[in-house]
Amino acid sequence: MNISGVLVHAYPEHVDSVGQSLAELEGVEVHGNSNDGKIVVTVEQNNANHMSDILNNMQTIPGVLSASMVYHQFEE
Amino acid sequence: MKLTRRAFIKSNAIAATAAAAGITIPGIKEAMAKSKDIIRWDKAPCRFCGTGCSVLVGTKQGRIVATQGDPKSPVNRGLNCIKGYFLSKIMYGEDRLTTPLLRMTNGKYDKEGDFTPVSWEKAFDVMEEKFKAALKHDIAANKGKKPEEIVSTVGMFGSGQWTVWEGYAASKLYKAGFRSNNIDPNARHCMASAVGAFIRGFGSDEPMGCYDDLEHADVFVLWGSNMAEMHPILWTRLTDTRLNKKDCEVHVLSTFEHRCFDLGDNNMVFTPQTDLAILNYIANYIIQNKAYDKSFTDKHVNFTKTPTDIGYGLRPEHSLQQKAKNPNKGKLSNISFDEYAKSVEPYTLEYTAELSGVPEENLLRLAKVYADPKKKVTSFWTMGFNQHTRGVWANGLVYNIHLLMGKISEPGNSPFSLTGQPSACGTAREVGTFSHRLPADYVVSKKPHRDLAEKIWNLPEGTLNGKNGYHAVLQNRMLKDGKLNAYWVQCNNNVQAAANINEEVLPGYRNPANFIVVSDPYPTVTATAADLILPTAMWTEKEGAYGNAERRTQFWRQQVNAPGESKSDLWQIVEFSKRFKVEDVWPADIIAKKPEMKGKTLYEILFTNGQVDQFPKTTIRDNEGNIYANDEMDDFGFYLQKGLFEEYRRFQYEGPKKGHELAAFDVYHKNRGLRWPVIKGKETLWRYREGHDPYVKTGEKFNFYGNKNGRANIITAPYEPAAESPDEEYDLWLSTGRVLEHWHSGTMTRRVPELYKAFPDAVIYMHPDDAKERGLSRGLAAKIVSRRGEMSARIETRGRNRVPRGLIFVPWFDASRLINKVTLDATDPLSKETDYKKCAVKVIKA
Repeated sequence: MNISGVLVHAYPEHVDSVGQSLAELEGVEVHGNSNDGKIVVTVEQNNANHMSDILNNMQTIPGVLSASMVYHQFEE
Repeated sequence: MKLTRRAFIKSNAIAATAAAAGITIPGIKEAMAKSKDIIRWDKAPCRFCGTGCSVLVGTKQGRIVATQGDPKSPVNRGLNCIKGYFLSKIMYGEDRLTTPLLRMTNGKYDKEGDFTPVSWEKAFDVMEEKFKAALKHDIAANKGKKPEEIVSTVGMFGSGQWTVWEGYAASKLYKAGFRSNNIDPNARHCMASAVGAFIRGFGSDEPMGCYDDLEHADVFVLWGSNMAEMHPILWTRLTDTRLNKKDCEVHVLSTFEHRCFDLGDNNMVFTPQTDLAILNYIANYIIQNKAYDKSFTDKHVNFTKTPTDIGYGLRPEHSLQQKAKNPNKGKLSNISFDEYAKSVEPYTLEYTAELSGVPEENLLRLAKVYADPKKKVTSFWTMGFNQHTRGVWANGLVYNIHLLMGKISEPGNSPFSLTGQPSACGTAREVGTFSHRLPADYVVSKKPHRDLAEKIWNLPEGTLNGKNGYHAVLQNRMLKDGKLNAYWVQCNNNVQAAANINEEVLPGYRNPANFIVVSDPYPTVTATAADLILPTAMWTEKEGAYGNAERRTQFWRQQVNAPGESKSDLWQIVEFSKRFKVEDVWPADIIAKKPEMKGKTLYEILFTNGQVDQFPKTTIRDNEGNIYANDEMDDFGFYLQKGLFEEYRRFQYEGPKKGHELAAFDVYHKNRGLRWPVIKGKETLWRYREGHDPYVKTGEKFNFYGNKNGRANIITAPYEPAAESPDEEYDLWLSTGRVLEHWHSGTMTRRVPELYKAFPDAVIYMHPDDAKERGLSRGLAAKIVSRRGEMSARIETRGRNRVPRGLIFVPWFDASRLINKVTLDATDPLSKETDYKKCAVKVIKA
């Protein structure tokens, strides 16, 4: 079980569309955002390889400036 | 409500992320409070780059299971980049080494034998024999020689990833014990040009500014730095400022387009090496428009020039060296302001645009922001400037611009050299693990500096070797030539990292005259080229300290035990010192000066000297009462790390040089680091500036006190061409570098499955038209060929790096595709740092 908390920073005007695109990724949930474009996201993945694809995909969504990892935990 | 384990972990993830975003999410805090956490959290600086992010490390049942960005860290404020996020896994790669491995045939050491597990006892026995033979030869060869003439056949290649005390102990063992200055860190490949320019310009190493400049600046200029991928956390801070501050601008210069260009307001792709011309153009623009701050330059600046046509740091017999008029020369001479102005006059807008390929309007816009006294400008650079055959010059030319405008040493006005390794500053530079340095900016070639070291280390007068040792590139050449015979590599992967592997690296490692020891947690390319591999504890398997790019020193406690028989680099160095008596390393006339040292071991002379062993064994606890191991304390019976650190601090307080002071050992275990100089418990954010730096007196405004006259040096230097440029046959520039997912040679990051998957193999980034012209396209296998070697990889014409026509970019993390077989071992003749960004290659179908 791999669970991580990711802070996605988007241009504020793109927050809604970025949020929708994020939510479409497998295992990704959007929990809220700030006014200046910071989106709180969790990623849950049992397959470690999928995790990397998701992280990469996040950064290529139009309007995303950066995706930073805040929290990560893995348990058997 | 009973939370499932999964839901509990998830609410932790949400809570931490929301806190970092500065928002609250209803219901989350309560959920956390209801569950009992069984993870122990403790801080540690990240193991990877020079940013120095603090990470909270979560340990459960002796294993690291979680990490999070440290919300109390002033550097990363609760964030981590992708690499930091996977920190918990780097220690658990499947091929971790757990026992010493010696090349053997029929139970005996044999250079051509196979790696065979042996005990530490056996490993050190063989190592001792080889080192003693070399040292015996040295004592005979140096008989009757003055300290300035001593040569040695033992050496070490260390690291900007060593902890502070590991670098200090290694340096002490080699310089004081073995009388060898052939110790150099891999930071030579990454920071040496920056150091050279700091010393020449300011008489003191490391930046005047700090990361707070990221919020204070109005304009950011990136010179040869892909911060978005290499320093992502600093990039998020820069991005915040760019988006939230009115009229904030970002200017990006590079030889190819990368992720920073997405945010850039003024993007410039220039022809390799012409950064020298662009820098001089800006200075010329400032002077022509009389924009410079005359009152600043009158009071705080010297104008100087440096010798030109200095060669390319190749072997002396190389034709390019033979052709150079002033090979390796760097002595500054004073000039007038008018002479300086004249020296930059040729760099007109038209000429510079033509030479660099950057449109005039972009260059003009760049020059204007530097020349505008109302705009605060922070310049960042990394390997683009440092890995440059004129790297010291390039670093100096950007200081010239900041000094002309007086835009230096104050919030937001900051020329800032970023570092690539977690302790390139704290260990390699501050401890002085270079072949010419001693701690705290002292150098081996100056007698008074050696006297100070001999006093602090309680050595007989004349013990220290006064001749500069072999630097990184020279070490490889000397191994090949058989002049360096007993060699120890710790905490780096130099066979993969050094240029021109086939001609100048591997021959030395496999030279039958040499014995090569490599300490590493993993079987790297370098380890497998060695004769003896020592399994090594890493990161939080030991107590440590790193110093980051903004002069911040940070400590961590040992969190877990190292696997198998692995031991830290520190343990290895100190334990090995027990094998030598002073008679094995010093001549009789030196020992005669301190007869009480007769018959003593280097362990006794260097480490149980009454200073290093002054702090007794103790129990290490945090504020919550958690107890932590310290394996070295258990083994040696005293608080080794503390003793080394406190002895090291004497260099900062007892010599003539001021401004490098660190706080006492215990302080750093309690805080998130402090930026030196730390005076009366207070850190320094901006050096040389009244009101920020306690060494600048009231009314002085600025005092560049590293130089005797308190002035900084503007150093003029011209554009000179690269060592090797494309020609008819080798028609492309090759630049090498890193990618976000991997750090350096991939030793650690390639063992994390997620990171490996994200970027498994090195590719050739190429312009689609260049590919088409060669009958290639995206995904096809191709061969890169230079005058020195070749490498195969697939073509990539899309993605994050978009190269211009005439240039390819290849990352160097991939151990199965060694791009350094292709690169040229040309170095900056002043800093001896290799230029990995420029050589000529051709690309053909594989």
